[in-house]
Amino acid sequence: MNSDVRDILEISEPNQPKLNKKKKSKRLSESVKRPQGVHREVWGLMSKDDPDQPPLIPAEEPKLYKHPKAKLRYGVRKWRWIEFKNPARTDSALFCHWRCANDDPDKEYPFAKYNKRVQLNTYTESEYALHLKDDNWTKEETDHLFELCQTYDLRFFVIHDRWDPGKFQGKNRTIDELKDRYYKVSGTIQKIRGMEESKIFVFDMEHEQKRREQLEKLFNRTKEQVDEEIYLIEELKKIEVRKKEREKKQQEVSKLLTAAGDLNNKTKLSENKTSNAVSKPSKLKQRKNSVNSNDGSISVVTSNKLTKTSQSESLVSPSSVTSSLPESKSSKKPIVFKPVTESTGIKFPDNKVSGVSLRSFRTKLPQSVGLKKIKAIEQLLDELQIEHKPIATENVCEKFNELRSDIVLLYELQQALTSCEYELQTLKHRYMPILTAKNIDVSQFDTTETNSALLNTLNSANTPQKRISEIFDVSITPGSAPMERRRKAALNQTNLMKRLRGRNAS
Amino acid sequence: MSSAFECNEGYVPNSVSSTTRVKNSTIVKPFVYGNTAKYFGKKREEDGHTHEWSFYLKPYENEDPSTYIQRVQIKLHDSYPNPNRVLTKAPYEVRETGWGEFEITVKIYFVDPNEKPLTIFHLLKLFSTDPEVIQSKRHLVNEYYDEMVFHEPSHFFHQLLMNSKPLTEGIYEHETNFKEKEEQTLEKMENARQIIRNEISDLRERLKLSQDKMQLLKEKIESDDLAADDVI
Repeated sequence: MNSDVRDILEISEPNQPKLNKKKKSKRLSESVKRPQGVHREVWGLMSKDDPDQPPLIPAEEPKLYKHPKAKLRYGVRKWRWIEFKNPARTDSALFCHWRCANDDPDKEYPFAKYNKRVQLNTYTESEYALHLKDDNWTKEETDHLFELCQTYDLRFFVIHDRWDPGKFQGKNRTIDELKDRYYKVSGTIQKIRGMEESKIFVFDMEHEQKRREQLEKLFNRTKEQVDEEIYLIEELKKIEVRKKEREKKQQEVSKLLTAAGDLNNKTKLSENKTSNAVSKPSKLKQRKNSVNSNDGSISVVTSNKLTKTSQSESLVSPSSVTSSLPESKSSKKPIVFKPVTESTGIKFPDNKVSGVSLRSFRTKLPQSVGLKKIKAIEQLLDELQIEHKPIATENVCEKFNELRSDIVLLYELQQALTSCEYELQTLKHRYMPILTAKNIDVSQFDTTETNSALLNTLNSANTPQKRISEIFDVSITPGSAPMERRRKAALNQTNLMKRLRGRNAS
Repeated sequence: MSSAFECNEGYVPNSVSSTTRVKNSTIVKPFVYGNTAKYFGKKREEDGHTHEWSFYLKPYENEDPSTYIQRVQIKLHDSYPNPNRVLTKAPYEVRETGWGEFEITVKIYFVDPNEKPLTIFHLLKLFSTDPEVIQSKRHLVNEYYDEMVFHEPSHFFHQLLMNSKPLTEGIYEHETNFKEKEEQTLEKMENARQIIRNEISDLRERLKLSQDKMQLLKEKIESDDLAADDVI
């Protein structure tokens, strides 16, 4: 080890080059071999081969305390064991404690000020005779009650505990009764003595009793009851959420229907110029809410200029509501004048930005259009053999946007239709046993697929059997698992509702 | 017309003509951009290039766009030396050779510095399935028509846009007949719309039918449910 140190420090051995051989033999003869159990470093510390070598013993450290002593300003104080008086005590018992010699000997015992007592209103005999008589309470009882209240500072739990029924013919008073009597008496006294009525504390015994009972029950619930309650509350929340979702879906479907209706009306408008223009004013008058822009819009309609799609669609929506859906659903009772293009189809950002822009910018889809819809649009465009990015003239852009809006509407309608039909199926299957038991004709609820003959007569042209909308890969049943869950959830819901109803009744 | 052009002295920042905008005016400048490509016939030994291509941007009408376009920056693929090509004269064209398709970014800077530059992305097309192109009888042409829409330009810019002189004296033509294409597209779209409208009404009827049925079924169930509550 010492040779290592020397190498590091670069101290050269003075005798080394000359007496190599001699040193070697000298070393061999004189040095003690390191014993086996001792480590090299320890031996290096211990062995005294060469007294000139620098020692490896650590130097002495100054004697320091780990925690230096606190330096106090005043040095050591003297404390004395002395007696003291507690002014809060009623007797003048003397106790002893340690007190600092420097302290003021006349200082009041500091904790005495915390001994607060309640101020009770006590009644005189005459007051009692005049106002405070009660059937259930004798004067002795009332006096005893007030004594206890004074002693125990209106701590009614203690008072109730200390109440001695043996004195008063074994009548056991509940805590509420005691409270009730005390506050009544106290209130009457205050009223007599002219205190404001509003400041008097009124004690409602019934309410207190009920509250106490409820607390007891709450406290004494078993674990199963608690769990059941939590479970029921959660289920209730879920049911409400599902209800809201269903309502939303219904609204969306109704919106789709209006939009589809609008579209039809719009095409009819463009085809039959004069006839519709004449019938329009009468229809508009029939509407419930008249909107200001109506008067201006009629003239636009008669001139039949469909320049801006949003304007014209919003014009059409009021009349179409009356014409296409006579059975207006509850969600549309006040016929609100709102542009329908916002909810269905695509709304293209049309705001004219001052500055330069490319025409093809107009055909960019807004971000709100989801991936699925984009794919559906592309699929359909391929089917119709239209380029994804058509030539960018103004007319073409406009038409292209309208077309895509219609495609999205079609897609949404298809989705709504499939989900509606699916719901129909599930309902049918669920209630099959009931319906067959009642001998109700189930076939009338079959899905519309079987009624294609009827639909063909509705459309003037012969629609090909393969509908273009079937291109859409609208699959709402990816697997049976989610549907099973939904069905089970629906069943659970009805059971729950029954249970809740049963609970409430009982 | 040329005298009106000459009296314009150039851009003066913060002047009335450069800051105020002409209200409710929209000027449309159509243009054509795209690329042509020709196959060498073989793969060139030195760099593996197989095609000679040319990307260009030119106005649709026979006019000189340098009155309102200050410069056009064409960014090629990074493997090309000096990939940022800046051109100031129409047609803004880049002729190069290559072996692969990539996206070209074009930025058009206008004379009015307050106007933001327009960015166009174009995928350079070299390979075609058209048999005539493969036999090298025709060049491959991949052209697009687009329009620059100037909405409410400043007075100064407005003047520049309105006054433009022709580019060439002779015939000015494009590879594709865009008018024809426009008409075809419109026609196709109209047909498509008709089909879709029919479908929509069709679906609508079906949806209504389904909903009515569901309503009916629900009513039946409700009446049954109430009656059969004891049974279940």
